[in-house]
Amino acid sequence: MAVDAISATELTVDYDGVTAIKDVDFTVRAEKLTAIVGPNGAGKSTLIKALLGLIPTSTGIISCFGASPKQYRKNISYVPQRAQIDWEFPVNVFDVVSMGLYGELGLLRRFSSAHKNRVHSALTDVDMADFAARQISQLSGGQQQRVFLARSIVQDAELILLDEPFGGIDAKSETVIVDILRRQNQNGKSIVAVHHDLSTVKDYFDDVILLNKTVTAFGPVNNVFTKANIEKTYGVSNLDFLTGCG
Amino acid sequence: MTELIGYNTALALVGALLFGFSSGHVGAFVYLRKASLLSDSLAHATLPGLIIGFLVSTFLGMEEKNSWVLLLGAGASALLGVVVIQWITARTKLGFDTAIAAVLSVFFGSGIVLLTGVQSVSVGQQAGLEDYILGSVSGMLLQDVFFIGLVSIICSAAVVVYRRPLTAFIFDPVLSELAGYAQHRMSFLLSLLTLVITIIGLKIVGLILVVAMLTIPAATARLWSTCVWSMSSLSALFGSASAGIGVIISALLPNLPSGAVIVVIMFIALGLSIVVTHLRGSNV
Amino acid sequence: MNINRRRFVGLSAAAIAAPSIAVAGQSLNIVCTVGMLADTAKQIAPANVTIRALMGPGTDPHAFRQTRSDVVALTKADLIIRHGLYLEAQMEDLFAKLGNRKPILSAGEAVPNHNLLPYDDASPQYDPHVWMDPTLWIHVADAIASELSSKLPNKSAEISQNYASFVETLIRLTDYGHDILASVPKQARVLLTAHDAFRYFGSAYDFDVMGVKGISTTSEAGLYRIEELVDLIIERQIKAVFVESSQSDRNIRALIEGTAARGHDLKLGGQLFSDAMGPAGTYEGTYIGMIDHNLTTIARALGVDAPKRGMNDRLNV
Repeated sequence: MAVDAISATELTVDYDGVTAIKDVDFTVRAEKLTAIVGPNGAGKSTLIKALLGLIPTSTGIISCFGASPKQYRKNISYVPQRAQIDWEFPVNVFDVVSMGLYGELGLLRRFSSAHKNRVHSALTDVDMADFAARQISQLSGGQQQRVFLARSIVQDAELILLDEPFGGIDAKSETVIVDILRRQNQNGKSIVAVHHDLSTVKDYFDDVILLNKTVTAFGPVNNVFTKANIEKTYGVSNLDFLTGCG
Repeated sequence: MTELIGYNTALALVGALLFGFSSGHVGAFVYLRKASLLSDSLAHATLPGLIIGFLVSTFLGMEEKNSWVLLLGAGASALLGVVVIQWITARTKLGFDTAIAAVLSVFFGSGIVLLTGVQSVSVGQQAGLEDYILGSVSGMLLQDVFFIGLVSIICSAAVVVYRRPLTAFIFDPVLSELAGYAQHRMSFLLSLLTLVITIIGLKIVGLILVVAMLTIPAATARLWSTCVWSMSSLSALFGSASAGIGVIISALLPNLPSGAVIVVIMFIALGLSIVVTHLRGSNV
Repeated sequence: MNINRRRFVGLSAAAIAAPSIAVAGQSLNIVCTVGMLADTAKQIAPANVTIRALMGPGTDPHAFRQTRSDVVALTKADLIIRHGLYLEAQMEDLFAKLGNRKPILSAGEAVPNHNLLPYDDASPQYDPHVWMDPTLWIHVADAIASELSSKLPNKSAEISQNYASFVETLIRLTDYGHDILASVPKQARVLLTAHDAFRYFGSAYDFDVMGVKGISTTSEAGLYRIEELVDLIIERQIKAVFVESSQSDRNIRALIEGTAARGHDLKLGGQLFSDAMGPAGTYEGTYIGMIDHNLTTIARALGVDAPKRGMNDRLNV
């Protein structure tokens, strides 16, 4: 557990003439489950895009396991927000997961039976093996999310980034997904998720980063996820309803 | 007809079959990317370049209205159109739709002005330019078919070779980027393929109808398929078959413009597909 | 051909007697549509008459769309000469409106109806390409001369003189055509061009004429037509086909390839001037030169040893 999964120093990103995040410093410990929380407009999406190397940073350095994101790209997998996907796209569950292998396969390498087995194994990990031939338009929210998780699993990336993985999902599915994430974590994967539900942060995650244009605090939840920090991040008071805080 | 199929019809048929195949192929990805309107804008943006190419080839004293120069001009102005659309979308508050509409109308309008201006420059034979607006299969020559056929095969090959990154790029651009296929490169590839198909389609169906070649077979194929590979293959087959049938019909009956007949055939296929898949209770 | 002198003298006498529309300074600004009309007017008009044509060499009058500056020129003209017979199809509305304010001479319509060929079986319109037969063009010249005389009555003697000499050339041109084409055998008297503009030539010189496109150029020829013509060319063993200066040559080239595939050597007989004259400032850029060029080119393509430089020894070869 030597090198940090992500290390960001003095990160500033200007986007469309507006400073989205400024002087952001944090580290994400490897092989942990880390949440990124903050209000709307806090710059969470911008941070993710910067971490993935999709947008340029104005200042600052990001490294993933000691390397720059561009060098490290193939070892990061990304689970997008469900709203960003075109669910009418002609593709079935198996195909979506297979896309996780495109980086390895390149343009013309044949999709062999070994590859097929890896896809099936990933689908089994998320309990979606029976749905392999189903069109994604016919899946429920929870099932859709599990398919994308399977895609990350098949990539066998060391770092999995998720953008609001529990948005619009029923409670049972949420539990299932948390279990999958924990299992992946036990296999040595580092998990980072943008998370919106403050009441479950302590239950699901080891570490947390509190972000509102800058980092208010980061670190293990027990130390950092305090009423004071939360109030400072969200700019509100009276958050006693959040159990186990402060 | 003393023969079953004359030489001119055979030429037109080969050109149409190959072009229909590759335009269906490329069109499938344009459709999935939801860029059909962009391809229409691109097609209309070829007009000013066509005319400028015509003027250049005339004033350089090229005897035959050298079609290479015209097509080069068409490509250049379409490319400029794409650049302007991207600039408007990226740098101003106007949206993608507005940018497309603006470029389509301004470029096409300028083309019409140039066309009217050309007739008073009196260099003649500008009637040949109208062939590119509505297409002209009757004047297909062997060299045309070679060119169209070769370029069609290259475009189809490119689609097959790049099918994985194109699919990934359209479905999930971040995945494509992380897999090593930069978004802007994939976007450029798709735009380039669209541009090339448009250029070679000018002689067959003309710039007004080329968007149909890129859209209708893809839409038809979508109704029948559930994966990208089968959709693009079906789209290629529909495009090819419609083009072939259209050419045959226009050869058998008098006074039929081939380009328009092809589009009508494609539209009939689409209509039938909608009815059949609807009745069947499509599970797509 | 007995229209000319008697009627003309009568007309000009009437014009002098009637209240004349004297133009200040005795100069006239004439705007014509097609070049053939402008050139004819130039041959007949006296000095200090400005004459211009809206459509230049190589311009297709069937497809011509007037620009704003064209309309301005028309509104500033003292006299407008158009061909009529729906040649300038896109300008009908414009001329209808202008006709209320400006004198417009529809010169082509001076040709008597019984000399006109029908457009096709279906429509009541006529084929407008009357300039292809110089004897019919005499009527047009006559109408122009009359109109000029009525506008410039004190130049009528000069006009009459110019007219007479122009008609003489037209007659000479007609005879020249008959002479050089006389030796072409019946079965070879076929003229195939890009569009159907030569029917009056056909009727004057006893030729079968065919165009890839119809009388108007505005629609695509169609594959069926190409195949039909390939069959016809082979059946009748047609030796030569002709391109036109104002039309694209693609269809003609397609015919040459199509017949070559069946082993028939169809030659390109040359370029004819169909709806427009040759380049401005050249002999072919005049009406006489245009017809001379056409007759000479057709005859030579059919194997006749006609003079290379035409009737007046002035063709550019």
